[in-house]
Amino acid sequence: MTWTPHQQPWDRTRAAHLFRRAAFGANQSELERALSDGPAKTIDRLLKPAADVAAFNREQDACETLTLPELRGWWLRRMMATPHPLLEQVTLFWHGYFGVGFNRVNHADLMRAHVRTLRAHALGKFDALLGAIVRDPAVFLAAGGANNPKALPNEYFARQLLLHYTVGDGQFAPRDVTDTARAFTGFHVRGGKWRDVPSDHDAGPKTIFGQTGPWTPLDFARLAAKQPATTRRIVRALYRQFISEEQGPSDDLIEPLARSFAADLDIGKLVATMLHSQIFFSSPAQRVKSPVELAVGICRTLGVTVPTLPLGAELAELGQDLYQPPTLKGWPGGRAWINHATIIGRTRLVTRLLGNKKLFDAADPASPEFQLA
Amino acid sequence: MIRSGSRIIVILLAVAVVGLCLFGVIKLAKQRRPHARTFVSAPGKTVPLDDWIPEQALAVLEVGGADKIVELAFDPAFTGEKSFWSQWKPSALGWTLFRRQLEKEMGCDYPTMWHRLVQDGVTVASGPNQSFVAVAQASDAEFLKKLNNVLVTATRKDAAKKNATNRVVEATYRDVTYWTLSAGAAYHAIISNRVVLANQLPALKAVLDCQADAGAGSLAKRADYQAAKHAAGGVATLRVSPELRQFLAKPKADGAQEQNPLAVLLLAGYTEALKADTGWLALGADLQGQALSLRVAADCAKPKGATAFSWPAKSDDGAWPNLDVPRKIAALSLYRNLHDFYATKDTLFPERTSQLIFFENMMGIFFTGRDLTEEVMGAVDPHIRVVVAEQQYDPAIGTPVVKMPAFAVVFRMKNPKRFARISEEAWQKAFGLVNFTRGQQAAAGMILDRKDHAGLRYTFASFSPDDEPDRPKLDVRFNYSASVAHVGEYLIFSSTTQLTEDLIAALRKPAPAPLDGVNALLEIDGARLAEILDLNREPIIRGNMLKKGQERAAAETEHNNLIAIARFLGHATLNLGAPDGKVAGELTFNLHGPARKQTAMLKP
Repeated sequence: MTWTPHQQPWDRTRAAHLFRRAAFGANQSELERALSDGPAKTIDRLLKPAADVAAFNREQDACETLTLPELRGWWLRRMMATPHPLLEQVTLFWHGYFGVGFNRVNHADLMRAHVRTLRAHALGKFDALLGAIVRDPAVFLAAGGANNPKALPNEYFARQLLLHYTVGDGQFAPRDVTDTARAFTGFHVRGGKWRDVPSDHDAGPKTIFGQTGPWTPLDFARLAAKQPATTRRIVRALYRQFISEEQGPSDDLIEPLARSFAADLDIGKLVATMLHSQIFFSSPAQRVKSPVELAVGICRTLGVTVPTLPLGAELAELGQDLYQPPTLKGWPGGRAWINHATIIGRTRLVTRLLGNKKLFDAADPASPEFQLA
Repeated sequence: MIRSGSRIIVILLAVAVVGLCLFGVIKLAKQRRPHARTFVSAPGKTVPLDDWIPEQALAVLEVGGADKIVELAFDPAFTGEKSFWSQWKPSALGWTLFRRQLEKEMGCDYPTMWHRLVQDGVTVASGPNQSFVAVAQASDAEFLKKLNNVLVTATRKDAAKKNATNRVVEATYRDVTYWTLSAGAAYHAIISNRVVLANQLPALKAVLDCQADAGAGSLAKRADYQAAKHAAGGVATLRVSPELRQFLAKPKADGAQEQNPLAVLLLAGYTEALKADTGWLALGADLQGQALSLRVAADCAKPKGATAFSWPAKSDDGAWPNLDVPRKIAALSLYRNLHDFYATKDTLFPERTSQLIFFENMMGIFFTGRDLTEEVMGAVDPHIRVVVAEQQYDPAIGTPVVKMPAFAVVFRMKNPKRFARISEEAWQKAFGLVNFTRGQQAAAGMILDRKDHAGLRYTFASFSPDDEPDRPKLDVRFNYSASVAHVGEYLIFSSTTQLTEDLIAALRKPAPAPLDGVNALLEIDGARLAEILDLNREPIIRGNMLKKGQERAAAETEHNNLIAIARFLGHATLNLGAPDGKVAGELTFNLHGPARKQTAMLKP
């Protein structure tokens, strides 16, 4: 199985699979259009929809209020209604990847800004995303980086950045930790606001990943993003998101994609390669939908919007509380979504969503679209 | 014993008929048609039909001026294709043909037929064993006789055609002829200009017994029924018998008890009163000019024991009239003896919940370990007043995105000299703690300050807007400039300095006389409420989109309707209390109108 483009016959099953993985789900008309357009055009449209996504997101941004349940509700609503579902799916992926949660940030406005940052860079360049992340107050608060004095560089924060966001465990030396911490000195978060104290910066030379210079946080992001260990981690994480979480992919499978990703750090291109690939449509491609994917998938398939304020609370009970990933590692995902309690909860949720009169009004139970749900 | 199915049917029927009556009253008033006033004059025209209702009746609904309800029932706005009721409108071809034939035979259209049939009133009653009877008084006996002949003849013809001759049966009981046109599913009889309908033969016979014996054994002869009718008043009255009321008010099997202390403080006096006695319960609706009144009266004395805290000990005592301040949205005046309330807390809400423990711990801190019952709750008298008013925002500070109304509670201190200092200290401790907690979360704190106003110095706490870049879109916290003030014997806790200053002026006026027999008086200014809803239009619409999953257009329509209803209901007043020692409540809407003078509860 390789990353070569998919050549198998294009049918309803494969089209539905594509939409489930890359757009939460598809309604009848989306499926019909995908079947007539073929896979290449459909994937291109998922990556770059014709609709005015920026205008939609501006409208949604204006609605977002500053309480956690409401933020949660608005994001779910956005996922259900967006003309660019892949963007929301990847934003949700990055939300889990960086694992920044309100329980550690304690500022709804910072959480709102954090998710907007993720959305802005979700399908862009990874170095730009990491550059925004290392200047995001929510990340500092979540990863223990509120204070970075020159007199006592915050090595804990530096270790979190290396361990969870970039190269990963076993891929950095003690020197990387101390000098990364030095690169962040003078940048603090006070009262929920970013503070840059130039007099507290350590302007001396630092050696990070074997390169020496007067590095700043942005330099760290640039250096870390290009590390082979980082690109491999990103490719593996996206493989788990889009293709399969049943078994870890072999290094042979990951390596070519990681190398091409390292060349331009283009997340959108990486996702496109995965979606076009033969492996994406292969039978072992299995994963467990997260509670958010499950609920939003049903709503998008049926083409309806449901009350998202209570839905957000219900999804939190099923283990996925938007804006509150449990740790910096995000949600464990996979089979961890399923236990004796959540499987009952999922059944109830689906029953309730399908029992909604509005949902039934919107869908014909005899239609293939309904059966897909 | 009444079966649960029967109970549900009784409740549904009662609610549906009363709902229809009230809807009719509101709709007629809304349309401001001339006949809305005619409807008001209907009670004088109503002929009491209760002399034919057997005394075993469990619930009785009397509607005077029922012809106006009929008029409403045939209003296209009410029965049109897109109306709520349209789904139940018979539309079969057979029905249409029958209706046309009936109109031809009777020489008048269908609505007029109904109009003449119930012109002088309708009384509906439910009895034991799921029985129902209805007595209607028509405009004239000839009309009724003719209508009956047409119906019986047509049904006989139809039954013969379908070889179901036993469907129509005619018989006599106590010299009165009665019929069933549905093989026993319903029975009716015509006596002069009255028609009697029943779903069971024994129920019909019981009515015929009453009429034959000149009302002997009827409800009309029962003193408690007459008392209930008198207490409810109005053009539409529902009276629930002691037996049914006892059944409805039966405590839950699991012995569940209200555990929320605030709910107990506000409602325990009424819920206990309604549960304690087994007398009648009556509901009346009336419209006088632009004033729509709904009155609930129960045949039960104000309770003693644990909930006595909400009832004045003296007959001439009661809640005070509400405070009047500029931009008032709502006001609540209560008679609640907080000392007695807290002294009986172990009976009223026996479970020591974590919230209760937290409350007691915090009060212990704020009031420096003083005895909460004796030295804090006991330090204020039972006259408590709450005011909610619209805010005006200082342009120098800015305007919050969500505009919260200001609110305040006013207590009367028994010993102002001593308790003023104690309450000031408690307030400062509370806000000091708020600041400390916010400081721990790296959030902005409040500045505690004192201010002179009209020769009085009071304390307040407010947030500084200096670091806020977007003054027209301030955070919700800028709705608050919490204050504590002492005006003579009165203690004010208010959410804003503006309301505090308005209350200082209001409290300097002479003390009002208590409203006899009233222990809770709530008033709401619909127009101002509509204004607040309109001011917060965007946040409310967005909130509804999330809570109800609505599209923006639907949420906007719902919000507009809410504003229209608030404006239409005008000034609403709810009086609760025990005039003449019996528990009663009265809800009055001064439709479209300004506030009326606050009075004690209207005597029926």
